[in-house]
Amino acid sequence: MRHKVSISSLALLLVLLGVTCSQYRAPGPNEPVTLVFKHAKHPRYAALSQLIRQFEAENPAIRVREEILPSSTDEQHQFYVINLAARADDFDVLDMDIIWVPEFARAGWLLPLDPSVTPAELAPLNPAALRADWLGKRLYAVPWFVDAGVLYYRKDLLAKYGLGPPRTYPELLETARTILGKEHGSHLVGFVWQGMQYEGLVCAALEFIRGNGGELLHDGKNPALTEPATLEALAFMNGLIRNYKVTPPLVTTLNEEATRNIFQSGRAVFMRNWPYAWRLLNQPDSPVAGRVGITVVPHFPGHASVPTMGGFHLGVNIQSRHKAEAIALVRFMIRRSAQKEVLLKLGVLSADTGVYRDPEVQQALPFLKDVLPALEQAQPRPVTPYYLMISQIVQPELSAVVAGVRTPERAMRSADQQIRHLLEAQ
Amino acid sequence: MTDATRERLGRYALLGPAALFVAGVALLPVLFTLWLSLRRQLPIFGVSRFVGFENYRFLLEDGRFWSASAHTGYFVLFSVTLELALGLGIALLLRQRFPGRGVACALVLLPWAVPSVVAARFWEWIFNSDYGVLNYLLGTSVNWLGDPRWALPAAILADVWKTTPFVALLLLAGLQVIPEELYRAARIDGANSLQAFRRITLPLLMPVILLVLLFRTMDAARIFDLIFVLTGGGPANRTETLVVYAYKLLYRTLQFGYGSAVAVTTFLFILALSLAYLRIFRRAWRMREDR
Repeated sequence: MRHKVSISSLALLLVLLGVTCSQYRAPGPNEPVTLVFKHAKHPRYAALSQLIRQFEAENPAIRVREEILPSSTDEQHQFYVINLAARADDFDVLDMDIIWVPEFARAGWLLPLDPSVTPAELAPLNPAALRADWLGKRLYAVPWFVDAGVLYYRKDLLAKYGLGPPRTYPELLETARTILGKEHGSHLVGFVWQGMQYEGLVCAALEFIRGNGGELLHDGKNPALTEPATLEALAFMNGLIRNYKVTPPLVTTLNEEATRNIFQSGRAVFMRNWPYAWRLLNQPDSPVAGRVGITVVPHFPGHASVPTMGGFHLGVNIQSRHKAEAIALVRFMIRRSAQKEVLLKLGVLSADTGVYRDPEVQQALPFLKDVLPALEQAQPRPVTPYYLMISQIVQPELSAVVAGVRTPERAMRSADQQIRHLLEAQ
Repeated sequence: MTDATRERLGRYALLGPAALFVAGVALLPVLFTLWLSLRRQLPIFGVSRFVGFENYRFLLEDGRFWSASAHTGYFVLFSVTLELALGLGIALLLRQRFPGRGVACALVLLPWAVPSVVAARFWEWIFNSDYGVLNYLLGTSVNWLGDPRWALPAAILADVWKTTPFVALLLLAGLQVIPEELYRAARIDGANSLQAFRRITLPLLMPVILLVLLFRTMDAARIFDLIFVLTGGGPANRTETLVVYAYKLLYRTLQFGYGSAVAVTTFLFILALSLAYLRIFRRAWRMREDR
């Protein structure tokens, strides 16, 4: 009896092994090809399936299987790095944060799309977002949807004191201090932004830096951190907390959601965040519903606002066994009709700039008229394959400035040295 | 073939699958990481070459590595000491018979059953400087996780809460095997409870204490999840431990070679600590046998 059990379990094991090893077989001539589309858990990602069914209806020879990645971008990046470095071929189309595109392209993990995707298809897409997709003369991805930092303000509080939304940082400071001075007794703070040590801090800090004419990196290779414009902007960030007391010290623990929680509970006059917060702030159960305004992030006098660009891009795994079909899916996703669905149903901002002029869209999402200038002025973080390494160097130094343990000069000198060391090593 | 050789072969054949399994899941990855740490491996630079001990030489001058080592040491020292002290206290209490002891045991164990990430999330709320319960209880307004001076102690506090039950549980098991007669004999000899604790409980519990120290030190030295969720290593890198740093190098910046060197160093550091403990451990056992 025991023998029988072990023999049958051995047989079962062999069968299972056989099944797992022969997972892939070439499709027959009339069988549809199955594409695997890896994507993140975007706000209303369930709506994506409808879009995909539409693609399948148009392309009967292709089936698409969605495989959803964890919601944290760090984990998504980790998944891609491990699998792409190991030359995995079990996914075809991938959804990437804008900052990973140059890195994956440089690593040789992405299929160049420029022979297939035509200039006419690219023309309506956000040009700043598209800048991140070119490496050398080749196109490695296309923007799928975009994102840009925006300033949220309490419409009701500003109106109460006859103030308009601020255009510059000094105006923001003045407005916040006026309101805080008169609204004392309430647990109100002036301005919250992402100050925790993570990528969000780089996004927020870049808006202060670029809004003062500064930069992180010139031409993707020369660190610009020790220039006066950058140092001034950082000193102002620190000043918001320590001199002007408009930003609470707890900003050093805030990420996007934590800032939103503070703002949504009615405890902040201003908040720097991404457009996703709009819908949540205006939910019926939100204490600030209908009392929130949205505008472009401020700048310093004599300079222009430069919101930080985010968003997700689509590319094709170079190891894909169905390259033509994968490219077809990518091209489908940047088509006007698909981009409109993305905007209306997925709750993210389409990369196609033409969609925003669509009357149906304007009617459905009236707040977009306030977000549009941000999308038009937004610039990506330095477009370089080394961005993630640079960010890892800059994050603790920015955090040190915000936490007040290092002066901007000292922190940026240290970051500058480390970045030079890194870029020289290439 | 003699019977003896046949038997030996049979033994190897039986051990074979387990040995292969261990080699496959434990030994090979370690060797692979060692090999990687001797290479300069940067997929985005298209670099992949053997560099010998260059990565280890760079470790010596990498300030971030040294501060991560210091944070790890600080974390291990304080978290393990506190956990041992508190765990011993709780174990001694729980050994007493009192009504509701079973419930008390279960309650004490609860934090250990909570996954680290979940624990980290609600400690994040407890530590919130604005409406966190810790500031409310203390009547302070400390920015626990955002202040460079407080962030690491705060992480240690969360770890102590989470892991003390584990220590208490092991120590309680150790206490329960100490024969009751010893205490009775001591009482007859006129020993007070403090003397009984010092002369009976502590020496007989020593092997378990060392075992707990070994487990906890190894565990604390590779602290990652709790800190990663609580602070991500910030502010200003003040809570970045070795494993957090290795993770960032490996998965955030794709420096596979250098990241592996940091991982290997962490591994060796933990191995050395474990071996040191094992030596003391063996000596303690021998002393107990001799007694």
